[in-house]
Amino acid sequence: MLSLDGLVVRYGDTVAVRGIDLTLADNEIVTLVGPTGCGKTTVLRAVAGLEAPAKGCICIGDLTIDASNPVPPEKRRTGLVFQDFALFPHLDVYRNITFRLRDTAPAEHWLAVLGLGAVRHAMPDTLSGGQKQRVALARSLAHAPALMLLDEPLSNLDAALKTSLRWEIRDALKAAGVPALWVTHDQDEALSVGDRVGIMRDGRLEQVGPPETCFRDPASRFVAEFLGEAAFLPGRHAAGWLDTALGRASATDGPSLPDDVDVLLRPDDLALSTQGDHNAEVLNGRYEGETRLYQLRLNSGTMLKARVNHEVVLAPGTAVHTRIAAGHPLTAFPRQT
Amino acid sequence: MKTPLSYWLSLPVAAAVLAPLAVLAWLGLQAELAFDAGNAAIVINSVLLTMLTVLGAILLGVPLALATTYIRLPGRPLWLALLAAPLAIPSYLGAFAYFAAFGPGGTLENLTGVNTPNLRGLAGATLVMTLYTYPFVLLTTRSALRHLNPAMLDAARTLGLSPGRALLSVVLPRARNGIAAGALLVALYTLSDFGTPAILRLDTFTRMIFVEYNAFGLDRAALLSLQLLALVAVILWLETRFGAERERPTRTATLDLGAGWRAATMTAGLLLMLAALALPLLVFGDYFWREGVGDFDPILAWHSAYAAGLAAIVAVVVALPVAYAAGLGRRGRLLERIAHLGFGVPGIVLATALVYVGLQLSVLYQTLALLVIGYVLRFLPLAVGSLRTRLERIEHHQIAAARSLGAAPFEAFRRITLPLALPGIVAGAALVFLEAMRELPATLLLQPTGFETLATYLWRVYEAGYLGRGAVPALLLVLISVGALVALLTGEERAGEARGA
Repeated sequence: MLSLDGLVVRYGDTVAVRGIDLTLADNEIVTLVGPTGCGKTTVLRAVAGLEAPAKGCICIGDLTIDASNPVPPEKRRTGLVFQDFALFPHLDVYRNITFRLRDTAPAEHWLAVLGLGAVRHAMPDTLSGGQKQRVALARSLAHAPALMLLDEPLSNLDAALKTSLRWEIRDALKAAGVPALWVTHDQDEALSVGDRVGIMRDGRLEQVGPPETCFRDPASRFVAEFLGEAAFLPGRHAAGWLDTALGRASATDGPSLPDDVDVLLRPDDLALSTQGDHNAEVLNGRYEGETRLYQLRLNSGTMLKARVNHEVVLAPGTAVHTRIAAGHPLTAFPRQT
Repeated sequence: MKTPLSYWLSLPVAAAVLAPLAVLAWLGLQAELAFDAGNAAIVINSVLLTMLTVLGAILLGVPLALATTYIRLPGRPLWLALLAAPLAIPSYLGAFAYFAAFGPGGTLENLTGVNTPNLRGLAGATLVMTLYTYPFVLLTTRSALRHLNPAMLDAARTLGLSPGRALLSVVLPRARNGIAAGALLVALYTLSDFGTPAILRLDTFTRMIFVEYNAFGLDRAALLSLQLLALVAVILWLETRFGAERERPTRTATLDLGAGWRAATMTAGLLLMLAALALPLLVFGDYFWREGVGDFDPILAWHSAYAAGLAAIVAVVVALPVAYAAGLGRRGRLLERIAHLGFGVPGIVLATALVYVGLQLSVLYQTLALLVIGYVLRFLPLAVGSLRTRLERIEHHQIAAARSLGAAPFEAFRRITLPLALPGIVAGAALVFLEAMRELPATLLLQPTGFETLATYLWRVYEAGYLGRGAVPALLLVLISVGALVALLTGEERAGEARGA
């Protein structure tokens, strides 16, 4: 449905996107995540037609767009949803949604699906943030786009609304059966909402894949650290096994590894106990509600984090025993000196 | 990157604004006259009048700003509107009224029998200019005071300062930039003003440019114009050096200074209103009472409205691409700055240049078109300004959203940009219309023969000495000024609401 082939976008002398390949299947939601300035929004703007590609091409359905054929935004049938909603302030909700519709049936449909019936004649200024974003979504979907583009759609909303609206938008996109490219800087959002996740850095895609794969088997240390708490423990690799001071685990399939490696440990890969051979010290703890996150310093000096049940209460300075307790293969990277 | 259409459309506008300056420079260089004693007197008169007026405006404006900000006056919004009102009245109306009221045989003597001295020259001009420009200082100072954090005042009080001392030592120093901004506006206005020195016979630049023009000394008028522009440039340069500091006030402070201060403030305000508003009304009302409508020809009002209406329409049409370009990037903002120059160029100076253009281009000679061009160049910044504040509130995302919904650029412009900018277009046109209706010096120089307007008729009446005939046009001009004030105040109110939303 959408495919990007070697996409490069420049702003004057600065290169914002340095060659991206990405394909979206029909009905697939792909989230693009990365730190500020990584180029994720630029990719979206290029697909929408708000920036021209310098090199490479963008295919939307049977449209092929490249530097020599910059199809204007209105010819692309892409639906755009912005973080600031971009509703037309002089038109009420209904006239926003029916902006260019001849047949208003889809507008009625999305008004009903997104629960906007009561505010159909309200002016945008009088709506709450969540309502505004629903109107923006309804407006785009009612115009029957071939592709939806969402630019941080939830970042102007408060935390409680964020999570619920996240599912609502995902459900609406799935119901419409439209592929979507969803840009966010929030890794939780990226992991929970996308069928696949693309992690960007400095204008390049570091990894694209299902959320589980990206989280558990990141392609780089950057991806590992960006998607969640990550610590690296020195170990040795031999015949598909990883041996560390904290125990042994199988290695994920991947590019061949040297003997000396750093093993990626997530806080939930570790078990913690005051019994047994003390090999670490608790530096501090953070209460998270259902869990507690402890920062540990191994006797070897390596810093780790462990997430345990909230019932395990450890004062700073407590000597503890920690070991690898993951039931799944772990990812390792060549040792960094 | 393709150059946006609005840049191409703004370019000729910027060129048209710069052209008069080039014409003046060229004309001035041809003048064979050296700087002489007469010229030195003109410089001294202009600078003296400006400095004294600035001083007077600060002495009136700053205390009034403090009083209206910190003292709980009954009916404060009304007081504010009244105290700001003299700004809306063209100072030549005030000058005309003071000219007619004072001296032997003046209105005051006729009505009360009391002899009053003539008000002419530097003293009279300073008095009139001060009365009609102090609101600049009042408004900018008030705005600076309202942006101060009142917690500072509270802190000073808890540290043991009396309210008065707290105002002097904590508040006023921080309102310095606001006061300076107002003072510079007063200076700019005074240097540019033609009517007051012309009527009260003080040989300043503006008056002498007109005198030279009438004596067919266009080159000498251009030379004086260039000197005046140099003074204006100094003021504009000073203006760039005073940026307004902004604090984030959480609330506005009020000081309870007791009934004595409140009464004193209201008495002072009332006296000021008598001098600036009631006296002109008294003079014109008295003439009207004695002479009635006389042989006043309504065609004058039509001429004024017709020329001003044309100017308003042309100004907003021309302003649209300039305001649009200003939002697009650095080059656009430069074009907008150039378009703003017209405001710094005194009307008489602009007209001198355009008269010469008319002499060279016979298509424009003695045409209404030349007058309208003069108005547009002079008041374009008003239209650009009010359009820009509207256009700035349109987010680029709204246009992008319209485009992605399938609207071509022109449709997006027509259905999103234009309706959202419409209030700005109307406000800009109204401002230009009302300003052009009251414009005097450029109209005097550029009016086609026989195309008399309210303002120029008032001038002829003054020149001929039949002051009584000025009553109807003067009262109409006052009425138009009230309209301008109302338009300005409601516009500001709406802008305030929009910011609050």
